[in-house]
This record gives sequence, structure tokens and C-alpha cells, in this order.
Amino acid sequence: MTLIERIQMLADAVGTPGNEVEVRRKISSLLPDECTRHIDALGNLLVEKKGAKTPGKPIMVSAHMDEPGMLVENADLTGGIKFSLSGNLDLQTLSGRRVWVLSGGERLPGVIGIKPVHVLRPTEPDDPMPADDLFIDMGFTKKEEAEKLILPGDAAAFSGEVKPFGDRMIRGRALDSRSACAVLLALLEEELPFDITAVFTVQRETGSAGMKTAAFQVQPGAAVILESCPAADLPTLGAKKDSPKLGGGPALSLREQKSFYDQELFARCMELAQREEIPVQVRSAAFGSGDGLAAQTSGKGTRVLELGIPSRYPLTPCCVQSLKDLDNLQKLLLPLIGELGELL
Amino acid sequence: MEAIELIQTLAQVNGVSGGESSVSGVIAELCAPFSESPVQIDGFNNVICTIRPPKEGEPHLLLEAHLDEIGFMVTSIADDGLLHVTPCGGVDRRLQAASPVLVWGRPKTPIPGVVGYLPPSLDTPQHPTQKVDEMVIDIGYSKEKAKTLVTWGDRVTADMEPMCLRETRFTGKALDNRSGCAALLLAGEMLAACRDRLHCGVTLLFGSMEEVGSAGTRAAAYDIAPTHAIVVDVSFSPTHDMPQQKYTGRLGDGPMIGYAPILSKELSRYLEKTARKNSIPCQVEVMGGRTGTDADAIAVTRGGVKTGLLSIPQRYMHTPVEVVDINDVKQTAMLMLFYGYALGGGTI
Repeated sequence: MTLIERIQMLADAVGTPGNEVEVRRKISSLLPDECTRHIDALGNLLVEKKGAKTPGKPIMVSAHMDEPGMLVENADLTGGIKFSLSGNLDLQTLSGRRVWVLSGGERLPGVIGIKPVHVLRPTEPDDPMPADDLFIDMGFTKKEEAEKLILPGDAAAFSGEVKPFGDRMIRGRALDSRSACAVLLALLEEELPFDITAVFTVQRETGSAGMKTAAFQVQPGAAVILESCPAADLPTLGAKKDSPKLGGGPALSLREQKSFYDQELFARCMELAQREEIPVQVRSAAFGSGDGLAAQTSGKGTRVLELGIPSRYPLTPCCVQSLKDLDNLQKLLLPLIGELGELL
Repeated sequence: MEAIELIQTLAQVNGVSGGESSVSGVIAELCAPFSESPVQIDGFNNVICTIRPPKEGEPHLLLEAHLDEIGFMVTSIADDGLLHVTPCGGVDRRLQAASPVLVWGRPKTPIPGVVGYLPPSLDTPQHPTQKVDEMVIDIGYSKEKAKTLVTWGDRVTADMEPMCLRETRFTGKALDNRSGCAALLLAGEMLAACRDRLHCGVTLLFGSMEEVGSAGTRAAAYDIAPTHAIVVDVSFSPTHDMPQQKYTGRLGDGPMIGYAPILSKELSRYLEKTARKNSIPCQVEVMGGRTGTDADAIAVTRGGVKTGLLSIPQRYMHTPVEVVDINDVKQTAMLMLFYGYALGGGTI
């Protein structure tokens, strides 16, 4: 299975915070037989893979499974479905989209529409609609009809698929999480120099509850977090000077918001990349910490190395990533396990 | 022809105003089996299908639906490979950010793109919504490569495959007005089947450039010179965020028969009566001013044309998730059949 096929398979699953079961099932089905696996109380998938040697302290490599989405609240009299947002979604990217509502193991289609631009009153602002005013239209005509199929608490997510895009890029839904999951799965198929614990976490988008508890269980000597990171690399859209660029390689985080990551791990990884001639970028962001911060502050604390996959339009149903960056991340990870094993 | 298959076929084709050649070709092919003479595609991408030419002194009925859809047009390529675009028709800026689009450029298959935007986390918590004429399309290529794929004037549509929501509800892009085109095709096929018993001329027109001011339709209607016309378009079915007492057209309750100064009241009343007599569900739509459809242009063709308007109720107009009810499309076709049959004295 190629990387893009693996990403397409994983992205074709609804996995909103707290409702990661479809994704977890797909990941489990792709795990090599020799891995031992465990699903914890919150739904994290912890996978142990033996390497040539056992490191002094455990090496943890993680990717989160969840994507931002919605939870169904109730149906109104006309059969419209009210929902609550799970995770940070930009209001500009909610309406005019198609969704999947996951109910009783079945995926039902719906749309989020808004009143036509023609009927806006002249004094009415044409700003994006607040989520509280939006409904999912699944084609029901009355409340009772909706209630037969949909229950409060059912998960909903933007639908769509992952497609090849531009110059060796991909475009589509849930790439924020699933491309990192695919890279981690590929690592588990390699002959490893040291044992690792691969952790597929839950609930990153609503506060990294999954990573908090996973890191506590693993107590790693070093945690390698694979995550997407926002990229504003197009000058026409107002590129930021310090933003990672698509195609520039994985972005090593010095800092995210309040988390200043481990300097030695960063330096080792940087040197390794130079030695192996793998392109990487440096990232220092004043926003957006997630599983990195959660791992760092879990239990007695963890040394964190965060490797970002530069992503345009993150957290939208139309995220864009470069396959070159994913390839380079894959290339970097195997020798990195060796490097970390020697260090710990 | 089945209504649902027609809409499915028509909604995936590209036909942004002024660049309708693909959809014109598809519609011309669909008309060919029942057209009396070869189907014409004129210089405006209008499709004209004659069901029965009028005999001397007979009325001539024009049945019209516009075939264009809203979208963007490429105006230039920026240094970083992004495409600058201008809107064609009433594009809704509230929902464009990071939406998937298709650029209909040089390659046979469309190029996937994304409406570019700066996500809020990178900048301010809530970035102001982009103005519709400042939007750009990201196709993931350098300027040099983009130039070999895309050129000025190429059109851009939403990337949204049509699909059934539940039972009779259907969703997709461009259902404004491909659902009207489907109704016209169904009516044309039925009228052609009984053309020997008609007492009027019947011509189908799939008009271009309605979304940018009806230029195509205007030209074709002049050429056809009808005495009577029925225009099929979509109209507003209320959603939660619309005043329910003002917008009353419900999905599944049949076509909305229009009343407006420019429309023939006599014709509209007749349509209502015909619907009732034949148990075709229908609703009314009252517009004090312009109808905002091709009816406004057709009614003032040459010395004037008695014009009626049938609107298929639709939710979320001008978004990629427009919703219509298939039954409304079928009922609209039935009503046109009955009218065409009766005009000039035909009896069923």
C-alpha cells in the first residue's frame, strides 16, 4: 500500500473527538502482526513494536486520530439537525459543505446550508453565520422522521475525499491527523533499531485529553509528536516570513505557544537531518499547542520533539499537504529512532 | 429519461456563465432523440430544440430554462502560482474560504483547486471574510507550470458531485438551474411524443448567461420569436434563517407559479387552474417587481411575449449544497406538458 493510498483509507473515516472508533479500527487493521496493541480507557491505541535493542527509557512516537467535527444535539420540528462544534472550526468553513452523520454504525449524508445571498437584507452583514444558527439538512421533513435515525450525541464530520493535487501534493478532509497516522503506520512496518511505543491518540482537537493520559501510561524518555502545522507560505495570501513552506520538509518545532520544546532533542534531530541530507525547516509559533504541550506536562513531564507536516488551510475540509514533506518525514523517522535510542 | 438521472448528469457538468459549451453539448445530445430538426447550439452557447414548428397563424410556445451556473473566471496568474479570479454571477462570499473547486483549464480533466485563504490561527482570531473579487484559487503549481495548464477566461466551479440526500431530496452544485433544465427535457420528450396532436409550435430553449444578465436568452428569444413562453427556474424555499411568512415555497409541494408585473396573469391563472384540474400539486410565488429570471428578458422580446414562470422550490441557492425535490421537477414538466397541449386548442 502506498502512502497516499493509506492516507486515503484513513481519511475515509469519521473520527471526531471522542468518536475515533472508525479511525482506530482502520489503523488496527493495518498494523503489522508482530505489534502488541492495547486500547485504553479513553480510546487511545497504544502499540508496542520490538526493535533490535531496548532503549534505556521508552521512546514514544505519536499521531492523533481525531479531526474537528460536530456532535448532534437534536432535531427541530422541520427535521433540521442542530449540532455543537467539537474542536476549533472556522465559521467561514462551515456552511456550503457536505457532512456525514455517523449513526448506529451507518454514515448518512447531510448538508449545511444557509439562506441565499439574494435574500439578505441590505442592512444585514454578509459575514459567516455563527454555528448556533446553522442546521444539518439530511432531507428529513419532520422531527419524528429524524429521530428514528439520529440520536443526540451522534458524531458528524465534513465529508469528502483525499485527492492528488498540484505538484506532488494532496488535498482533502482530515489530513491534519490522518497523514501523520499513515506515516506512523509506515514506521511500524520497518525493522527498527530500538523498541518503540506508537500511540494513536484521541481528542487532540478538544484539548489533548488523549495525549495527557497516553504519556502518563508510557512514561517515555522522549516523545516524538507527529502533527500537522499551519503553513502560510503563499505571498499572494499574505505569507508569513517565519511560516513553514510546503515542500520544504518536516518542520521541527522550537516552540508552540507556551511550550518550549527540548533543546537537545531538537539539536540531535537537526544534526541528523543535515547528516542524512533530509530537508527540514525550523518552526517557532506563538500559537496552537496541542499534543506537544500535553505530553510535556503529563505525569512527571516528558522531553518532547515535535515534527510538523506543513499544511495549508488546516482544520478545513480542504487541507493541502505536500507528499514530498511526508516522504521526508518518513525518511527522517527511522534513523531518528536510532539516534534517540543511543541518547536515552 | 428519468428525472433523477438527468439531474445527476447535468449537475456535474461545467457551465459557468459565458463558458457553457460543455453543458450545451450535453443538453444538445439529450434533446437530439426527440427534436424535430437538428438541435442548434448558437454562438452564445444557447441550445435550441424544435419540438414542433408553428403552422401559419398558430401560437408559438417557448419553453425556457437557463443552463449556466455561477462560478469564477480566471483573470491572471500570480507569481506564487495562485489564480486571480473574478466572480461570474452572484457568488456567496460567506462560504468560499478553503472550499474545493475545479478549474476547467487546458487539460481534458478539470484541475482540482482550493479557494485560498489565511486561516485565523495564523493571524487574528477571526479573519475578515474575503471580498468576492479578491479571491484566489490555489492549484498547487508554480506560476510556470500553472501557465501551461490554465489561461485567462478559464472558468472555475465548485467541486461537488451531485447526490441523493434521502428518497426524493437531491443535493449538489448548479441545481440552479440544471433542475430546471431537467424539467424542460422531460417536458420536451413528452410533448414530442404527442407532437401530431399539438395545435401550437413548441420550441425548447436552454438559455445562456442568465446569472450575468440573460444576454444569451435575450438573443435566442429574439430569433425564435415566440408568442407565449414559460420560463423554468428555481426559487427560494425557506430555511431556518429566513422569514417563514414571506418565503412560503416548500420542497415537494410542487412548482411555484409566479405572479409579477411582467408575467401574464392570464397565463399564470391558467397554469393554476390546469394544475388543480389534473391534480398536479402547485404553489404560488408573488413578486411585486422583477422576477430575477429569464422571464424578465423574454417577456419584452420583439413586440412582447405572454410569459409565465414556474419555479422549482430550492434551498441554499448559489451554494455548492443546493437542495431540490425530484417530485417538484417532475410536476413542473407535467404542468408544461398540459399547457403545451392546451395552447391553440389541443385536447387531451
